[in-house]
Amino acid sequence: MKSDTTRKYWRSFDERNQTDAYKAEVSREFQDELDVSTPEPEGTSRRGFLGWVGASLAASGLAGCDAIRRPAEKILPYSVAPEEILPGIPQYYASVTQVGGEVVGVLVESHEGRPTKVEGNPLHRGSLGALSALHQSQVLDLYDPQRLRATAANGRALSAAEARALLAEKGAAWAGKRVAFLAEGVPSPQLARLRAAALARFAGAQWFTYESVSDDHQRAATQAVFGEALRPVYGFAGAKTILSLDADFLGGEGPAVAAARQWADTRRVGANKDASALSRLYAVEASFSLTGSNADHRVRASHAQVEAFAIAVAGQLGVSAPAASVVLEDRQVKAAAAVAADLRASGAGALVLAGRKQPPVVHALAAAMNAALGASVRYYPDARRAPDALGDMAAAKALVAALSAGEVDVLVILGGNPAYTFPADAKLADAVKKAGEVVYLADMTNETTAALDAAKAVVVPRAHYLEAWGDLAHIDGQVALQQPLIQPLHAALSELELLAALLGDKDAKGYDLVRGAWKDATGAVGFHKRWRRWLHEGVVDDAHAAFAASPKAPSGLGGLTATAAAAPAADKLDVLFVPSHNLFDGRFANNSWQQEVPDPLTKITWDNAALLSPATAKALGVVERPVDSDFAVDMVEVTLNGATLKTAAWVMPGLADNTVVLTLGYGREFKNYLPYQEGSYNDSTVYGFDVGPLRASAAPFAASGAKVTKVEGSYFIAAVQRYDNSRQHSIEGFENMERPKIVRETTVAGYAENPTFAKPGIIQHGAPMPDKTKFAVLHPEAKSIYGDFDYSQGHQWGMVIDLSTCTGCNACMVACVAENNIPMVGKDQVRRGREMHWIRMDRYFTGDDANPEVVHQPIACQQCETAPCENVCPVAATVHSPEGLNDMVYNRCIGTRYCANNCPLKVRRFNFYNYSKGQDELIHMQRNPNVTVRFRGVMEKCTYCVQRINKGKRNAALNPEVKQQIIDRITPACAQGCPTKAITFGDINNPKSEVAQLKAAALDYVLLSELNLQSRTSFLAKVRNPNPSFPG
Amino acid sequence: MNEKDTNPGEPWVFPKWHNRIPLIFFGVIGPVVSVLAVAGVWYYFSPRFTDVGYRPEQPVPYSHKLHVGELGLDCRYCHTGAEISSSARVPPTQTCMNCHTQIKTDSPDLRLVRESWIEDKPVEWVRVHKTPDYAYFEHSAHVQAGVGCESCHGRIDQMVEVTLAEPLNMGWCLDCHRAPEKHLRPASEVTTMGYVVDEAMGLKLKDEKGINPPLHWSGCHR
Amino acid sequence: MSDTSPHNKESIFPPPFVAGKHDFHSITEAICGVVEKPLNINWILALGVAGTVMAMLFASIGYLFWEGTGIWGLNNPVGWGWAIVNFVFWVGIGHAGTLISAVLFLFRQKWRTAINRFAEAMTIFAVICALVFPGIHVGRVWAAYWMLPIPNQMAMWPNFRSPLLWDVFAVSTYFTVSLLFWYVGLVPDLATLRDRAKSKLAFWGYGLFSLGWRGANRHWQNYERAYMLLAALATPLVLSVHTIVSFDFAVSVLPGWHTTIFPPYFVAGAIFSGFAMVLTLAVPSRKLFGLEDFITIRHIENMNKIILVTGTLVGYAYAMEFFIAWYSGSPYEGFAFINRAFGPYWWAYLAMVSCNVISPQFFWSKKMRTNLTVTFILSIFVNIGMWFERFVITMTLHRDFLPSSWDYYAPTVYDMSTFLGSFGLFFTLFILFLKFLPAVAISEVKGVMPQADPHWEGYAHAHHAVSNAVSNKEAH
Repeated sequence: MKSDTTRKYWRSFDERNQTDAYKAEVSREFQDELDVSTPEPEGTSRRGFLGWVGASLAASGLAGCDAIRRPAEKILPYSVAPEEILPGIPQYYASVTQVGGEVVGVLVESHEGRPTKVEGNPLHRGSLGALSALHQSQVLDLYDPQRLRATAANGRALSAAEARALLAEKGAAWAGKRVAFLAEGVPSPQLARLRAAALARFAGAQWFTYESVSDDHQRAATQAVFGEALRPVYGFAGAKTILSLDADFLGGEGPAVAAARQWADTRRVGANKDASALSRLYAVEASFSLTGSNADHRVRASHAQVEAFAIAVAGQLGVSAPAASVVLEDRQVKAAAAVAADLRASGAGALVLAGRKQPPVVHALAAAMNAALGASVRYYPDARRAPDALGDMAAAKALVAALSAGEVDVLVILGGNPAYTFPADAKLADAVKKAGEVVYLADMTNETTAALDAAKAVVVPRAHYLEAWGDLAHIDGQVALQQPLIQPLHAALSELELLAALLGDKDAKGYDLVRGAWKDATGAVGFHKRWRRWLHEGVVDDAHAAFAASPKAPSGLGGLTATAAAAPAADKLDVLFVPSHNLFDGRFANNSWQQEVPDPLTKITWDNAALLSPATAKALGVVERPVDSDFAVDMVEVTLNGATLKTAAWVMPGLADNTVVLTLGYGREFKNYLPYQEGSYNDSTVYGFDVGPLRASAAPFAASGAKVTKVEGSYFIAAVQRYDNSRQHSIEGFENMERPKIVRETTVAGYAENPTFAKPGIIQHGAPMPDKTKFAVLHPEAKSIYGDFDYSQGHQWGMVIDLSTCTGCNACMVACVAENNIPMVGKDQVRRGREMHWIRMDRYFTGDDANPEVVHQPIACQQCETAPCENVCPVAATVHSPEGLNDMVYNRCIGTRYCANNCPLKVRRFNFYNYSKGQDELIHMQRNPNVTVRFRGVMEKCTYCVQRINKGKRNAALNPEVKQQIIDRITPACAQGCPTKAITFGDINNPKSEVAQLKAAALDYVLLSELNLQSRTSFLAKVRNPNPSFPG
Repeated sequence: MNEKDTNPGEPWVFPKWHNRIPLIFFGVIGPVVSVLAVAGVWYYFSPRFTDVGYRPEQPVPYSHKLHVGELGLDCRYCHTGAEISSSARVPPTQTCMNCHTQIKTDSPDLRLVRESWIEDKPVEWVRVHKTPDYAYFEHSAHVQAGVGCESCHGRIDQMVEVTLAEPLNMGWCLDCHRAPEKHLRPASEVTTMGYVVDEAMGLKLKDEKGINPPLHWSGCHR
Repeated sequence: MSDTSPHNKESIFPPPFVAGKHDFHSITEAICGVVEKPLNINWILALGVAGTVMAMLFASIGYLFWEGTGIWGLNNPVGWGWAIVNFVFWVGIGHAGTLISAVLFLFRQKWRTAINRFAEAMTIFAVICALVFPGIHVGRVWAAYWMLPIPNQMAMWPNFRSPLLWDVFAVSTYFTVSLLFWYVGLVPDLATLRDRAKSKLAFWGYGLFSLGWRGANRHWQNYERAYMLLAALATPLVLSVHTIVSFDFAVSVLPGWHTTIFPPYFVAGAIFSGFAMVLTLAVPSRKLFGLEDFITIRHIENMNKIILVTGTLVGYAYAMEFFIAWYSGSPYEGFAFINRAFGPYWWAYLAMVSCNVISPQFFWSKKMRTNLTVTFILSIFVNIGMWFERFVITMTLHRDFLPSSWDYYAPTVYDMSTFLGSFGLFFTLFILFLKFLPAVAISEVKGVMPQADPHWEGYAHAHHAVSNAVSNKEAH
């Protein structure tokens, strides 16, 4: 099998065999300073052999638990070894990526040339060292077997070189033709440069930029009040009071990774005695966003009422505001007053954010309020599009109009999947056939490739960001270089290379384009040194930032007036379109990691559903099915000006009444292979419902006047958390059966008066059992059946999770998947309760169903010192390490599942099937070689990333002089990937370590301590910061 | 059964002497057979029998005896990284060509090596020393601790073709992890072949370097 | 035949263990007759049905080995499903045999003689069925032998702290002893069959297994001693096996499992279900094979009494569980039991209580105790109820400490086919047993006949009866 693998990837490297190229590379290594114009060395070195060497080594990580000596295994050494690679020692390179225009710098881990895991680049202001779940998952897309392998032009499959040549000659032939470009909103200086060049080259060419998840409203507002399209950057540092008007700044609106971190820093209590400095977050929204779930006060309001609320608050802040078109309920009026007072009191410490769903006037109001309050908001030009470009929806309409009118001879589509993402009233699928010819840079076959007329189309495989050179500008102008880790696995081109080819440069390599441009821009003197430093750090000096903050101040509301809207009613409901937290606009539909990670609020995997408030559901006769009904939920039909959509219905507490929330990005086919994904709970691999048909360009995020009716039939939903609401904790008639609090929370005031409120009844790590606890009867004294092991020696690993700063964003779950080779099991298996995530993101509602509060609690193995799982295993497959780890030994496990039964937190995961059976070897290349791929029939669970601990200890031993620093830097994937740094890991025997100090904090508590588990993972109780004068 | 033992008309089936069969079976044959069976499994099913001595034919007849034993190359000249990485790398063709561009430039034995050099494709060696995928052997840790190459790989300097010298099974690993002093050498002697370990010295090294081999699962399995 | 039967003397003799006019010879005839009659079509049909169902078991197991435990309804909170339920169910059934043979034997309960062979056979077959499940339910069957303390190249021993390991030893020991016990009891009867054998095959077959038994005085002495020793050996096992099986649950930390009441409660339940199964089998087969004279109403009634007692014991245990759950003050414990009774599995709990506690109460009335139909139906109820008891206990898994991890377990078709198939295995073995081995212990029944008493005055008159009886004994 290995030799096959080798050959396969061998072929896929078109220019692998240029031996002179490698000679050039070697020479380069020694004469950097002299020769600054070397071509990017393709044939060799880091990006040379790697793909296929990686493949052969990767395969060796796959036999799983039952390895056998024969048949004989091959060892394939390099013929020419790249200096920097030593097998067994991973490489790290800096690069940068973006999703929907939101840029984060990344550090990529590469094993023998295979990028396996990305982490945040601390030097990049969009990342601050962390990533979102989406950015984490992109690495899987690199190895997606469904990616296009070669350029398809009138029935022929072309190599990259041939494709370049073809494009060059096409470009030459386009003189005088009417060319139109359609691009995604990628904030890349190089793309902007080539865009200008292209527009200059092809006279009368049009350039459209389209993002389905659009900031049109923000753009329109800033255009009105500043005279140019700008993007606000909020200074959370030092913020005291934050008002989010439907803005999900923690859940993906704007630079969410950085924002979450900065916001969390204002919410951290940790070991502090005093929590009075905490910021306070108000959220006003109709849907239930991640931000709303983290708010101290969430004001439930219909979509139109959000605007009215903004107007009300603005009025009290002395901002001239138009008259609202809908009335606020009494509680909302009171709330608005309280919020306004709070904002005023905070002055410059106040922040008002407007969400992309809200009409321009709300954005204008927010800008005006921030100006009035002197809030720290800076505005930057929008680098995702040309300054004079049309808005997303307008662009879509204009392009389709032009196409239908036959005014486009040539259409160049740079990535994206417009046929799916375009609004319903701009149907690209029909119009595109009218184009004379189409060049489409595509990731894989999709709705758009299907719509193309093969005879007139050239479909070019698009290079993954880990395969191509480029650069991206962060929202605040910081530029980062996109450095590839591996040669294109298939004959793929990047946007830059494709454009360059069209412009006639048929040998243009991304490397030359980017490096050349930066050299021209910053001068040749000492450029090579500079370049190397930028590549090493991943970011370009701010001296060369793409743009600077705009000095302009907002001028009133720029003539924007209140939107005419009516309150939703039972016969005309509001419809809200929200981007999927997992699939975004649908571009992750083929990514199993994103499909299987649950939605943070609904906990639904693999699907979307029409979300309804309990009251609305009741009115429609949609019932919340009991758990033992397999979640066969009701179907509803949503009719919105003519178009109808039949979709599953899901009851979601906290939504505005008479409002349907529809999630974008679903209803697409999942084309990859999961051995057990099909079963009695899903007959097709098209998951969820495409809400596109209801989405008009006029109302891309919010529409009103919809009819919703319950229709026949039911639909299986795979939700990972079945029991969540307080009412479901106990059985009818026994609701008030008290059980110890799993999530412990207090308020700032409560913390001040009783800091140790979380402690009572808790057995502290190492401390003697308090005699007067409710459960003393269960545990006369804390004893281990193993006898007392001395944990005071050596490293003792522990973890603290801060519930105050955990936003429930799922980044840790995906980071864990990427690091630990966790298999994705598919909808059917998730439905059967067999999801494999080592971290479970528990979500609890508290309070009433109408407007509940939410707590997010990540639960992984707690590494109990007296672990109940250990003594019941008949073969000693799970035992304790002297460093306090609860070791799970896959190769010893025989799968009695007793440990899982006996785990009080149910964090153990069992391989009921061989979940990696028959998967494409490309997927295998993502696997982490330091973690065993588990076979069918074995148990697995969180290991605190023991492979990282071992690596850290090894490196510490190899470098005694910096031993302590290396030990202190050991971090599991989840803690590393957490945007808010809510997870702290370290050696609890080292009193100086952060984790040890947090464990000493007053808020620290462990779960189920009455079982005397002596957990190594503890939690910091959640501290909310409610406004005492807020109307209850 | 013969007529003599049975008298016709009597109901019993078996002649008297058959009473001895159980005695013979349970008293003599049984014990012997079971002892043999146990011994057989013990010996023939153990990796020491099934694996040790594994000597696959390599594409290139490279002789460690010649290069190490006679020419005295240091192990780390080819197998770089053993002291800092988890794996000791199998040398790239480059390493061979360092010398073989000058000597034996047209030896037929080296044809594959030259091809690999020119066509830039790997020589496909056959793996001899293999631990299962779930066992993470850490070369650097062992080399740094002063475990000789010889301890696991045997007298390479005497092998024309590389042969598996040790069973590399878990019990075998644990023997050493439980009593490391029996295998420790000073750093200078790690690559020495035929070094005689002196336990007193081993104990000394153990204390000096604070060597405490893991006996828990996650020390080797992840 | 003697014209003076014990019936005339009922006033001074205890009621007979054997009804009808029987002497030693007629007993031998009656019981061996079952074996010696040519195969009849009903038997073949029965075997065919049972065999088919058994084939289903092996098919299911084959698929299980091919695909993995995923084919069952198991999920994350509920790691044990029907496989374990069935295991405990069958082990429980496997209790009556040893109890009847060993304990009642030691207590000189002569009425046991007619049913002990039966019950022991049932025990063996039930334990075989039970042993199937722990074997197949592990994830990596091919590595299951790591549970046995065999020296190996990994230098690894099993974990002797694990109740699962104790289970392996407990159940296998119990199986071995029961098998020996059963076989020793069979020897004299096998000899009888050998002596009456018509075909060479039967002659040799029974001959081989009757170990050259000739009914000599020395043989009988050794036999009695061996039987006594094995009985003494088996008696503690009756208690130990199910005690240890109960540890599989009791040693865990889970609410609803972690209770000290389990050992006695499991043992009581086991005897309860065991006797029920004996009745389920005895009532029809005594009719089918015309053994009414040996398995008399008196036997049935005695067993019904035991069912009444053990059933009530089990009911007490159910009540006590609830009380302790409340008294312990542990909300988890309390919730676990509320959840059993009123949670998603309320119907299972209802089935358990009504079948196990309520239905035996009918046996307070002699009328019911001695009514075969009622006995048969109720015995079936008890079997169902006891299966549900194990189901209820195992399903406690589905809601434990953290509500976020709660889930619901539903069996798949393979759970069902495996369970059903185990009945196929059981009945196949049992049907074969009825046909090829004496279903009633001939020698022991003769031992409790009035004729066995040397001073039985019947001898005074009926010489031929004496000679008959003697010749019968001599014949061995």
